[in-house]
Amino acid sequence: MGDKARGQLTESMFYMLMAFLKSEMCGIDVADFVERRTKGRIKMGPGTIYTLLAKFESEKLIEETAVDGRKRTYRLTDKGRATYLEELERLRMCVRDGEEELECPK
Amino acid sequence: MSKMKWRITPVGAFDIPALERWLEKLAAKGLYFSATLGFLACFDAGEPAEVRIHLEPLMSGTDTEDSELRGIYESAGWRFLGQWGGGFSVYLNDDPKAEAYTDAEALDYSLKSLIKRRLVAGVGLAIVNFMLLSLYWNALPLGLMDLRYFPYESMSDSAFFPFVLGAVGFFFVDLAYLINLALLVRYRARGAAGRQIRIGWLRVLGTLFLLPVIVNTVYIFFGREYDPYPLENSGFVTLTEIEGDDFRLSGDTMFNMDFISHHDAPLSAETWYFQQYGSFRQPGVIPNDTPCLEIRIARYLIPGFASGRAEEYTRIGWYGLGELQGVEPDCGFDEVYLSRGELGSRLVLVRGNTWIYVKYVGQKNLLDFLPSFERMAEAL
Repeated sequence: MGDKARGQLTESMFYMLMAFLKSEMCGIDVADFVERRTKGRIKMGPGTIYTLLAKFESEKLIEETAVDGRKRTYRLTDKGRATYLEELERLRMCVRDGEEELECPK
Repeated sequence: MSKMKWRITPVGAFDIPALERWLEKLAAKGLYFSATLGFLACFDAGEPAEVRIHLEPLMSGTDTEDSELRGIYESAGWRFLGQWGGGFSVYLNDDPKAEAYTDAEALDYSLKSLIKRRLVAGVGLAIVNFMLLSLYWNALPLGLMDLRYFPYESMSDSAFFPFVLGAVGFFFVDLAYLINLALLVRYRARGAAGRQIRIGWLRVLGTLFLLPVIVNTVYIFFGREYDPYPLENSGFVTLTEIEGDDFRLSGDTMFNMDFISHHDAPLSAETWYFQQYGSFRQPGVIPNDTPCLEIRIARYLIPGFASGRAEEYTRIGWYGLGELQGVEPDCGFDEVYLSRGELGSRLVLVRGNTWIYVKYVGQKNLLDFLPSFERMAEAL
């Protein structure tokens, strides 16, 4: 399970926002994207996808663009993009700090 | 064609982990969930299998959202089994270890939303409690303290049993709801199921108590409870019959009923009421010695009520009408009580489950009219 350690987003949330960066998607597409992008390391359960879509939509990080039968398509909002970039920067700093700590002598 | 089986839900209606474990146990016995009806759950018979069942709380009741939900689940290898009430979609996965939630934060958000909705629904339940109980409470002419001294008289009121059954029913339903809510909060806090509490019986009991009250309320709401009919050919004893054909009755229709007031509802005794007054000079002010006849009748569903109420009336006095005393039963009545005073007399008759009370202001002997009251009782 991708628990939230410290930042604003959990791993699942981060990858879900990432999925919407380049194109509009429905929930099933998001699951496929995340699995492909992480090479199977992260498999999002259907409950997680459904709930996060609802959460992101209520927080206006994504917005619905089309409804076609069972399929609802969403796109990233400006707020969603900003949230993604903020989290990306936080993760970059984490990685940088971690690498610097490894490289610097005792 | 698959066989359908019904089971009483033994756990709380929104105790997710307990419901999932119960449905998995039944699937292992070859019973697969398909629908709910109140506290009952319907199952299709199939091949027994170790499966994973998941209850997904719906974010809202819209069809679009449900369709999307189903699409997401089915693409992940889950099979939709049915709706659990209006709050959950039930899914099955052939892999007993499958998990619908792979993110603790998402599960927490889902449970938090569910708790919020259940709290709002709880407020709705409290309002329904208040409305239904206050409807019957306000209709009770006697206080509950009167039960101590005049239990049959108190219980004879048409609002008594609906109020008591409603209060008991809501107690069980509300208790089940509160325990359920506490279990849900605990599940969210711990992120894992705790000890299973079988509170399904509370809901069953509550529903069994409330169902007749709801039927009774609908019956009254649609005006089915009040069913008056004309005095003519009713068989009721009239003041003219007692006083003679040349007796002058009041011209006021309120004091000279030309109909029999008749009430009958599922949870109360069937009752009749009729009154006639002789003419009096001052409209609206009735002198004590104005000849009158008042007949009240109740036919009870519960044996012993008629006799109990008759006994209670021997302890109630009435100015100028004397104390009720038992007399030798006659004309098919099981019990006969008569009082005589300076203004008139009272008669209480019991015949099976039927209680008849007659208040008469006048100088005739009511016992002489027992055959007429017998005919009246037979015509009810």
